[in-house]
Amino acid sequence: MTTDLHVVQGNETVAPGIYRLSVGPSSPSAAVPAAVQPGQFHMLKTVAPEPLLPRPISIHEVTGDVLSFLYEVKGAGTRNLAALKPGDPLRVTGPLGRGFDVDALSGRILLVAGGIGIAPFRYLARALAEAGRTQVTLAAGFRSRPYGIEDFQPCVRDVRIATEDGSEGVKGRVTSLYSPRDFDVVVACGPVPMMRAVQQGCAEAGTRGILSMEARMACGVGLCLGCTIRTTTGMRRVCTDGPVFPGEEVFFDAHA
Amino acid sequence: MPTPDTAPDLTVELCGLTLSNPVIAASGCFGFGEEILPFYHPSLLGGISTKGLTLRPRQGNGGIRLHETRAGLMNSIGLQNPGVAAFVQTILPRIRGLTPCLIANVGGHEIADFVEAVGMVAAADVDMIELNISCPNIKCGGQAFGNRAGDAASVVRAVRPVCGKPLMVKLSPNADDLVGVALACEEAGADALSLVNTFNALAIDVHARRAVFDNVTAGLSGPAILPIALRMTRDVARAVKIPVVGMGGIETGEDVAAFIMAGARAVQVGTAGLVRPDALPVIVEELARFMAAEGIANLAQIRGIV
Repeated sequence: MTTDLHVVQGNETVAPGIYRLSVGPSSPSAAVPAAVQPGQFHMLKTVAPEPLLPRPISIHEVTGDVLSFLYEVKGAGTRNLAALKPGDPLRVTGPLGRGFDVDALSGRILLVAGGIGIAPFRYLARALAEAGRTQVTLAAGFRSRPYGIEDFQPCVRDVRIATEDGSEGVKGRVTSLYSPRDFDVVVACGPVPMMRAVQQGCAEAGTRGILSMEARMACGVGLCLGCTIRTTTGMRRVCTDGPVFPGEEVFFDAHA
Repeated sequence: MPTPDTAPDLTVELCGLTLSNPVIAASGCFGFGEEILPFYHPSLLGGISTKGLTLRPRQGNGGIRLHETRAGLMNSIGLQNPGVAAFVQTILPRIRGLTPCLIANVGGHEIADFVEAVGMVAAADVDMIELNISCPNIKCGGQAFGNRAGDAASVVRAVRPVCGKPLMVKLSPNADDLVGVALACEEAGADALSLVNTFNALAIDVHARRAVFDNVTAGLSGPAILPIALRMTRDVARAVKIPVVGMGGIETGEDVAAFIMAGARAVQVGTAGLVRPDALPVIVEELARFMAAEGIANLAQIRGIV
């Protein structure tokens, strides 16, 4: 993992409030980028002094030495990201955290995304396909118009969509799109209420759940203990012990 | 004046230890020094102050632990740590070689716990103890030991006999009379003082109409506090004879120079290292460049000049 200035190559809106950012090394002689594992994240910070802290953004796609991030504008940090133009410098620290263990995902695999939780699944789906996994299904839920769901086929054989307003796919929640009993493993990324519902369904069905958790972070590298979540093995850092956790280890009461 | 090709001397003497430079990683912002290894080796720093240790393991606080403010960061971690026994047995052997100045930060809520914890850590292979007296004293109705001179002195006096290592006391800026607390700690046997810990602060989520943190208040750090921390460092450095390690919002080499000019022997850097993992060695380089540009041969030339 490294921390250095990258150069923005592109930063386009793909849906209202949703951007796709791509960055490359600042010079051809820059260090060879570390291999990025699906589900890992980078800390991104523009050169603006405010806000103080970088923002953790999960990896969306890796193409050579170009990193892509799909992100939702939620506050001051992501607003700064949204204002980036090609050629702008961006401090990129990573890759960070423990991502998805592709070797440990096999059989009938379901990827469950809620909103911007779709972001890490593109790169994961490609890694699964490259590892020969042919029984991968994507279930993605959105409030309204879907985004980030293109390019999944042929990596996944089935893409199911739910929208809360019924604007596309099935009207309702993402959890209405599948039965956990039909899968050997369910991998989820999304807002906490969705994660809780997904894991509850997995527990009832006896299906393995894998959750990519989100938390407020300061350092992103394990120094400050600011991003901990309560688990069966104590308070654990989302940044370095996660962000990917076995679903049965995560306590959701602390996130209520 | 040094000749232009003479590299400035950044070394600092602190309680019998010679630090290669005055920049020490602040407690709570550096883990136990291992997490930073992918970015740089901590031997580039003057020293490391460990995550705060308590006698028994602590889970730390639930709920939100971080809240960003303008030019600052509020935290309410709650001293999550594995306890002194686990530190001495399993962590210390791993990290001993990371720095020639390993400072074990020890906190507690009762004097008896402080004494036992400091005794265990000071008997192990650490170079210095940093006593965190900002924790609420359970016996004194939750008021932090560091808030009153009498409470602070009683902790320092109690741990002094069991502490065979240099004893640095970390002062809280929330004290009723900071200089009074500093003098009381010196009188009670402290070998050095470090200041400031975080400022007690409040954030309110106006949409939810409640405090952001479960504990209502939390500690503020970062560039927002630098001018106040600098003033406090100067106040204390002028009042006591023992070395003062200054901290609070340091982001650059010139910020370090300011604390030295205010009378600090060395400094600690916390929040800046959360913003950018390689911030501390960058600050050391900036300080060296500043000194070279200003013709400052060593830090003694500027220490306490303001």
